[in-house]
Amino acid sequence: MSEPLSREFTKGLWRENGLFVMALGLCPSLAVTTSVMNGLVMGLCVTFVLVGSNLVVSLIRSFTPKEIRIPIFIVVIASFVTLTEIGLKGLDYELYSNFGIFISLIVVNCVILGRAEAFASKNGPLRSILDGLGIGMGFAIALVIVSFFREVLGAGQLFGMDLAKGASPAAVFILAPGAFLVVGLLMGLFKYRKIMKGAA
Amino acid sequence: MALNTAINLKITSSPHIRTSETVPRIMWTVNAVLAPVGLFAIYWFGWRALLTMFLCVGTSVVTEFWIQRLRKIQITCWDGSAVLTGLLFAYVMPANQPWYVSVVGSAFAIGIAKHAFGGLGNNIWNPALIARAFVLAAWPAMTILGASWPLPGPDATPGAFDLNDYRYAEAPATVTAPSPLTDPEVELTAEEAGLPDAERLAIIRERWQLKVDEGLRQSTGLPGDASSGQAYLRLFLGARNGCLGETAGLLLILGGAFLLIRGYLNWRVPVFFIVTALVVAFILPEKIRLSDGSTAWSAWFEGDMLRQLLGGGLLIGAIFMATDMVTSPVSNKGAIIFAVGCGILTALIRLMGGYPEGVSYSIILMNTAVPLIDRHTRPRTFGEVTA
Repeated sequence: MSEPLSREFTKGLWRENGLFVMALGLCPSLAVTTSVMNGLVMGLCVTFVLVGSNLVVSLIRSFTPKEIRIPIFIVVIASFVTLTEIGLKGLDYELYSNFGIFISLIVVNCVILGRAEAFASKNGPLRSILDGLGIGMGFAIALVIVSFFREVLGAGQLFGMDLAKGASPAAVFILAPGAFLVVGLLMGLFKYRKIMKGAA
Repeated sequence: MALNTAINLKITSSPHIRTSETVPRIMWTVNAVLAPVGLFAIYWFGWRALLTMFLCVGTSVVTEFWIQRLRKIQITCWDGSAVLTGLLFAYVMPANQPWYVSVVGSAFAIGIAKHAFGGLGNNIWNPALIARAFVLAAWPAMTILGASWPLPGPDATPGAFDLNDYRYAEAPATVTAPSPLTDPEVELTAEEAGLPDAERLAIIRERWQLKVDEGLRQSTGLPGDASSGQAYLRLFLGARNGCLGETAGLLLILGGAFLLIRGYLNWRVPVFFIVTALVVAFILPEKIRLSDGSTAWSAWFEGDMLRQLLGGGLLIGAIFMATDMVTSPVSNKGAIIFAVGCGILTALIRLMGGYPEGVSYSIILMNTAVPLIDRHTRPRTFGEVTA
């Protein structure tokens, strides 16, 4: 590996952004991004799980049997998700109940399994942690961007505070179609920028 | 023979047939055809209608200009297509919708439904209808579902709406669904609810029919003793509540006929669309809502075809929306399949669905199927052998 360590962190933020570039982890992105607070917390939870699972997967990579690596990864991920779930429940029960099943569903988030399979099982612990941090933060940023648009447009609020009076917000952005719309348009924007960069 | 003698041949690439038809010419013609409908809307719904049309058209043109500039492509915001999109969007919305619904809807039509897919000629769906579906989902309470519809007064004074009261004009509570296609709720007393099924159903159907007739009279501004013939005549002439441009049935048909003569319209689309919708609506029973939340069904083979034809947006949809050159099939066979599909979906959504007005959704859904229809109705080249 000749890549500098800092690159392992920064690539996930933008260039290999889990949501906008790789189109992974759409389920939580669509479901919980109804407010910036939800998006932020979800992003942090994913980051925590990602860093933890990347570290453990990387540590056990030398004696993980190749044939059953996926179940092993899932068990590792599930342990960290359970930790997160219990932790969040203890810290802020109200927030926890906002998410419902979607905290548990982090287990099947493709971003996390994808990193375990594509990166952590082939790289050392330090690189894996940096990779997990980068991808996780990138995912969190993406969720915050999506939820920002959805909360502002769909509820007329930001962090629960009312923004505009007089005009009523476009409720569609809080609903599922609005989520598809926002994610789709942002993805298109990212693709467009990439193409423009390639052309230049 | 001297085959190799140099002959001067003039060779040009296709197309070889020259015509004076251009995009601006066609678009401005359609706009001109739609203008009387707009004038009628101003006459009937008051200056709010003009304001809504102005906002929609203005926003469309401005959005078109800025997006074409942003995309660094030729700026064609005056070719009439943006004006047409804005105008059609205004025509399928209530005249008294909030100003920002007009602005956001039109910007969405041009920016997302048209340019995000590549601009004129590349859009999958009719931009005006996508915008309608969007604002309907975004502001359900303000636009269609909860809106009070501009309504002709009891003495049918046209334009009797206060310009300042632009959010809601008064309308009776029975008219909550678009225009004369009311979806009334039937109430039963506890005694009647206990009757045997057949008797109960008869009471429900009778009461429902009364409510539908009452809604029809109310939405055409007729007194309680008016005959249904009067009501249908007023529906046809446009003296009814509804979306801005969908009421004037006569003007829409005349406009469609003009476009047909000019060859801008494939007659198969509106004709098959309307006939299919009416036939299906005639055959199938209609869902009746009961006040206790349950549902019943009206009788088979008794659908009111005139109400289905003249109420709601079937005419404007079939004549001006489904026939959009970009989003309808190329071949005649494809056009018929497309139109029949639209008709069936319209009738199904109207009779059984929970959404107001099936025309817009049916056209959007069938637009989605157009590439598929086009592929399977591709005319064979002369001499081509099927595999």
